[in-house]
Amino acid sequence: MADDPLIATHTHRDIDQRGAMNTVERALSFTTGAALLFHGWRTGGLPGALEAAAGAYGVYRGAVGHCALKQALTPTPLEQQWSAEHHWPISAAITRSITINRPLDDIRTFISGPENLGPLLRWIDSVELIAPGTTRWTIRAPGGRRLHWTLVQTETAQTDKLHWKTSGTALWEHDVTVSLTPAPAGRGTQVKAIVVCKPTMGRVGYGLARAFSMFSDKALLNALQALKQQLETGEVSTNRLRPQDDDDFFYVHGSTEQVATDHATVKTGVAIEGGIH
Amino acid sequence: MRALTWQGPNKLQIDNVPDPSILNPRDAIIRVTLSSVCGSDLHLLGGYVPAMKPGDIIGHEFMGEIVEVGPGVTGLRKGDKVITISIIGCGNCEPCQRSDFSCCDNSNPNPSATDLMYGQPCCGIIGYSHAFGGYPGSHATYIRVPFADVNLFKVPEGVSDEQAVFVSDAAPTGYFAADNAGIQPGDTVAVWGCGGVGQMAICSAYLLGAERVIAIDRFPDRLRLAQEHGKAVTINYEKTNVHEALLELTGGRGPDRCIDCVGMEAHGTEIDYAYDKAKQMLRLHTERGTVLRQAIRACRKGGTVSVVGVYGGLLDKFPMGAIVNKALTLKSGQQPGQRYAPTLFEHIQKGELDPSYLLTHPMSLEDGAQGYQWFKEKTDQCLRAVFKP
Repeated sequence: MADDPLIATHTHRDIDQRGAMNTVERALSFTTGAALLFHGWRTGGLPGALEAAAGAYGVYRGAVGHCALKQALTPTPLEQQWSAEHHWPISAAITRSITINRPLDDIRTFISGPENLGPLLRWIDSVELIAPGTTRWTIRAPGGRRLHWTLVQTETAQTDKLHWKTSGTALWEHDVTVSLTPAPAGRGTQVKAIVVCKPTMGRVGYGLARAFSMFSDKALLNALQALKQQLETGEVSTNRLRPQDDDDFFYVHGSTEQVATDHATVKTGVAIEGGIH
Repeated sequence: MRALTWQGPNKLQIDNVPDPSILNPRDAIIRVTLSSVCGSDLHLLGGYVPAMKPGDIIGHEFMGEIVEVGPGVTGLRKGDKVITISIIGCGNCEPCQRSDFSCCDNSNPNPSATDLMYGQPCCGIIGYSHAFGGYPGSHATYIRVPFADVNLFKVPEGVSDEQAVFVSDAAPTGYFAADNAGIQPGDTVAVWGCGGVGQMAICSAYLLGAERVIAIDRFPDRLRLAQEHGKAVTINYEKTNVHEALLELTGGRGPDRCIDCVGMEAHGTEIDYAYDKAKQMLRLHTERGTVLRQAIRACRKGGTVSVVGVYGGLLDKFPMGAIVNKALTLKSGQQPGQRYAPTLFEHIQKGELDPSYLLTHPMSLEDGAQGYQWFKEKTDQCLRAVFKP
């Protein structure tokens, strides 16, 4: 993707704003809203007030010509470009960047083996190397469930770019790219991760992916922070009192009455030679 | 072990909780011998910091004895008497390597909360909410300190426990405030707030070359301490118009350096205080900015306003026009005490600084809730209640 737009770019400069409504949509919104407003006004009471409020919003939306829902369901320029280049019907992308105070080669070597990342990430149960360049990931999901996926590393033209994609059996295909560039003034290495998924169910799936990105964005931030902590300090910070306490990934305390059962589940980093410098 | 835990706004209790253990190679376990209340804890108690959970152990200004160290800790061993800098640094990231330990990239296990609030993840702070890492605090029998080789300092000969405990937080915060102010010989420095941090800022301002310090508060006992221990000129803002007094004392120029040691729960007598209080109670904003506005308005043209009072969120009616048109410099931050601890111990050893007068109420940990109540209400002239777990 040469000259990629930033993921943070939400509109093309040469086209209308995302969420802009066409003439028919505006007319429909305006007239339907007006009808709801009138009917709600006549009905009265709480149901009537809610109906009138919905109608007023429809009138407002028709008048200004911008729909928040349409905007939320319209891919960004980068997502549109990705879809065109990869022949995906629709794409949803998230990104995070971080600067790690270590040489580029050290970081490339470390993350080239995704199995190194498993011990750093709180929500990952395991990362198993099942074939050269192929790893099986198991994560903890709400309700005590376990989710699995298989990542296949693929070659890239640039040595400072690493790329993985999910195997063909995944319900929602994912593509992960990590780019490494030297940070200015000797401040280490800039690491940019882009995760793109191919939602099923078209725009509805895209909307679901966007909603879920509130969590996946947080997970990506935590993952990059954990990588940075490991590579800069030799450990991953934790706030637990004892090994058996729960991680509070969502700021929820584990019970202080928990009994030690499995010290092997402690995940505060990995002992890697040269981790501390 | 026994621990003083936060259960909800203005509700503390003593609980039995599990002892901490070494989790990371650079951890140390400390048996806490002295643990002080701090004015910034009052923001947690009052419910103004949203990322608190019932059961959180509070407290971040403390000293004790090392009982265990991880395999990655060098230069420290079991039995050492140490103080801990409560703002955690890792020592390896770029901010730590330029001595900005309070900007550490790696010490917060919950980076997403401050990333959302402040734009980037902030450092971890012991006993100071889940936004700042969710680390259990020091009002307990034992505490686990991460990156011990960076955040623990041995108490040197000639320094008493009552002096050393405040090198954990109050003394470096006050010193940082004065250092940030860029004091030049002959400067007049105004300090708002004469609690523990304010007292240390006053003393530090003289150590860094101030000719005169003006201390502002409303409690006569605290103003008296500022006068006796800090040689400060004092202003009681309930009896005196602060702005007019500062201009009167400085030939109309205003103080060269203004230091805010009060923060988000400032009190005042003017209309803006009532406005702030009403909006804060309605949760329409989080800060009461009376002191900051006064400092910015009073500061001389081209001067510096240094802020170490805690602010957490959004402040209304911020006088940006005065900052621009008077060419003011505004500096702030959590204290990077790792930068200052050796210097502060030296000043104490030479008799140039004695923070022990801050300790007005030694108490047992079991009386922790009572201690906070006295501290909050300034009962019995309580400047600092310090617990002995």
